[in-house]
Amino acid sequence: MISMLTLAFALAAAPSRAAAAAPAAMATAAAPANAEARALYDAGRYADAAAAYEKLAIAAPRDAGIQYDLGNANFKAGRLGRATADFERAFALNPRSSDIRFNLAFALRRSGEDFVPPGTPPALFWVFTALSERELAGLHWLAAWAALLLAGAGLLTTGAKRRSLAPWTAAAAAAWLVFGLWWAGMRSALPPDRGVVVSPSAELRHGPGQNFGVAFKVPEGRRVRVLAAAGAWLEVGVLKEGVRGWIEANAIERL
Amino acid sequence: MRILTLFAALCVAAAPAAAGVAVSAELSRPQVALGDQLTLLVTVTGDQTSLPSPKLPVLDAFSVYDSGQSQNLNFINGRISSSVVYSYVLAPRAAGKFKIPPITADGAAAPTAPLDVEVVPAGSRPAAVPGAGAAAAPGASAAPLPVMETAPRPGRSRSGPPADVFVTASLDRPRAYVNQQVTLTVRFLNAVQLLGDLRYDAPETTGFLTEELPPVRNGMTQIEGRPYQFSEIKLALFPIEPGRLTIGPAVIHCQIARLGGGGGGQDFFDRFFAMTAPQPVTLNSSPLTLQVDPLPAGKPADFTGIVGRLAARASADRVEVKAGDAVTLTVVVSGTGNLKSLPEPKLPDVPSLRFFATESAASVDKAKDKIGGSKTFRTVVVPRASGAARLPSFSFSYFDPERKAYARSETAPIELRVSPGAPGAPVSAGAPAPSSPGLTVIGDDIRYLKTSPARAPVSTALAAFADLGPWHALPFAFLLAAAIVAWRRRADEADPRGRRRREALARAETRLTAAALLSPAQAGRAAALAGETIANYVADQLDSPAAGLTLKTALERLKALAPAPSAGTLARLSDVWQEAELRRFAPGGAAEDGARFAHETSSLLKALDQELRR
Repeated sequence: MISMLTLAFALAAAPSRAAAAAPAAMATAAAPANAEARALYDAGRYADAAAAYEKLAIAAPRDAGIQYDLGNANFKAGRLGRATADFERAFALNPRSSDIRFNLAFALRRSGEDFVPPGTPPALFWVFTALSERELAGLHWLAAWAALLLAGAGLLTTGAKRRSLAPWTAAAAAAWLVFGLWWAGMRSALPPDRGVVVSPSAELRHGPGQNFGVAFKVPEGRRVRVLAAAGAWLEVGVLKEGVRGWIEANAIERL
Repeated sequence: MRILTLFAALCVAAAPAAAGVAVSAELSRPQVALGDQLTLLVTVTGDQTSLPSPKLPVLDAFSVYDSGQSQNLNFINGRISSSVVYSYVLAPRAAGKFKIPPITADGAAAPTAPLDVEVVPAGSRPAAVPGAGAAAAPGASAAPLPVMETAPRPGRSRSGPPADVFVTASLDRPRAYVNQQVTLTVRFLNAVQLLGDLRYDAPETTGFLTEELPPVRNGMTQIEGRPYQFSEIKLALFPIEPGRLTIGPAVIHCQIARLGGGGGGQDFFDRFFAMTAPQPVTLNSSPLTLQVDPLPAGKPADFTGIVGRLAARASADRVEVKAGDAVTLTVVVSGTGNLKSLPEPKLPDVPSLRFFATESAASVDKAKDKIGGSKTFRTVVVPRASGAARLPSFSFSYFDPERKAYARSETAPIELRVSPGAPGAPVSAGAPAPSSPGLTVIGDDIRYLKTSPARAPVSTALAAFADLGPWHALPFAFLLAAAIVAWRRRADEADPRGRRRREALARAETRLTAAALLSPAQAGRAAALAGETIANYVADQLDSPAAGLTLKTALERLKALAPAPSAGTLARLSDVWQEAELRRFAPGGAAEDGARFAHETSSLLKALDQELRR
């Protein structure tokens, strides 16, 4: 049994080590390209800088810093919607970065949205979003592993050893519950099927086509939730106002 | 003591307010002809933003019309200085030399000095105003009165000659746009002597904004060869809604001296004997209608409803300034139209400049019976940082009724050269000076790029762990296996006999394996071990002690089990049992015989176990 557990942990740890090592290797390889993109940004060539950062972001989609820099370049190039989408991705990867929070809030303000939902205490919102969705998933599974293994060990042991495992098992189970609920809440508040309007003054129509009338105009940079798709059209719900309508798919950048 | 202290503090606080107000007055010219008008300017100054209004004395010799006011704010060395100029149009009622009494204001230290003005008869040329050019004073009318007209005027009675007295009303145009000026002229004509006072009821002008057009003009005219005296009142009307609007009748109540008889004799005696008592008369003009058209489509976004013609210009009191110092930006909009309703321009959002509240002042000009003038907006601008700064242009849209199109007048932008302010120098121009040094927000923008790569190994490891996918089933499988093991263990503890039977074969196999591995020298021991194994296995199956178990007893009890082993298996058991006893007491066989016997015993026990488990 112990050998089986050791094997399991070894298998579990192998991808983690690989994942941890990969960004570092990519960062080293991408350093010249990053410096070039930064030089373009500093020279005020924001569109060129955005193109350079775009390539870096494709190579390292889990790098919050690259997503943040790409958002900056797009923002300076006047693409508020794309910048908001980039900052959202960066925020999802590294929610504790004050720079990412600031720039995302700045971009959202430009499109008439609040970073902190109205009526929510900022401190509570900070705590709720302090961990990323992936981090919460990892903690949830880590606690699940701990709780299940400790419970199994408790079943296999007797006497004092079993009694000593009991509080650890309970703590792990409690952590599993907390992180599980937190993770579920995060997925509910920030559903994965979200998008950002990237077209200036996009039109929401009553149906999927130009023959349907225009219901609303949505400013660029506004966050929406994708509800359905029909051909080249998406049905989206505007998160702030709570209205829905159909919009051309190329006016939305999926997150 | 505290009350005394408070009282003293209040006295000290109130003193500057009272001592800081001064009032002065001046006339546009010292001499004016009857029928003309002049302007009285009263200036109230003080070191506060809220200044009192002047108290104008009663001026019997003049008709007084309010012509607007303008405010001026100055910031000198961080102190506020304010002045308000009140403009009045004076229309003389009679010729002669008059004195305008002193004018005062609340809190003023001293009233103004009396002003002398001379009203000369109509037609006389008033003395030239020293320094005055060709331009007339604001609000001055260029038309000398009285006038002698020869053109006939309406107002004749239904039949026969024109009436002795009548009143007419007319508009200068039959249709107009919303908010376009329309001039209403009410004229009272009389060919007979008026007795007593005359009372005028202005026409009802619902749906219009109105503005008086002083003064009342008097003169002579002839209608069908008969001389009439006339008095004329003009009123500027601004329709506020489209449609067909009605202007009510103008009403005049007067008393006339009517001649008796047929009116044929007009000599002194006829008039003397025919004269009767004064006769009250009420005269009405005919109601008027005006067709008001809505403004056409295509209004500019910044259109505020002004109909007329505007010209805007902007100026700054200086263009070279230090950061933190104040610049007074003045925007003057002049032209025709109802400028009083022109709202303040929207202050631009320039991060490097701080704009303070805008003061506005309107000066109404009624020259040639056209409402116009100027409106002045003043705001204080404080550059926040050194360098070049631009005061942006301001635009004002209006509708030009003559061209029937919208137009826009824009001011030119003003370039400022801002030099660095003195370190620690307080921000002037009334800006709230911080009590302690603090940050000055110049502008906001996104934060700069990430200068160092983000490293979060724990976060990365957690994300990778979350992505394990099917491997997350492992702990569940482990728990399941542990639960099964625990259940089995508990079941064994609850049924020791069954456990002994289930484990009998495994124990026997272990012993037989050990027996097979013994050397040939230990063949007797191996046979003994095999014999013990058979006896122990059967004892386990029968749940009885192995000691003292004989072959006969064993066979009998095995036969009694359900299911019972087959007869062949029992026969094999009997043979092996007996051979084991034989070998135990007669050793000396080859080593391979020992192993073979152990194997045969194992085969027998497996067959027996299989039959017992059926």
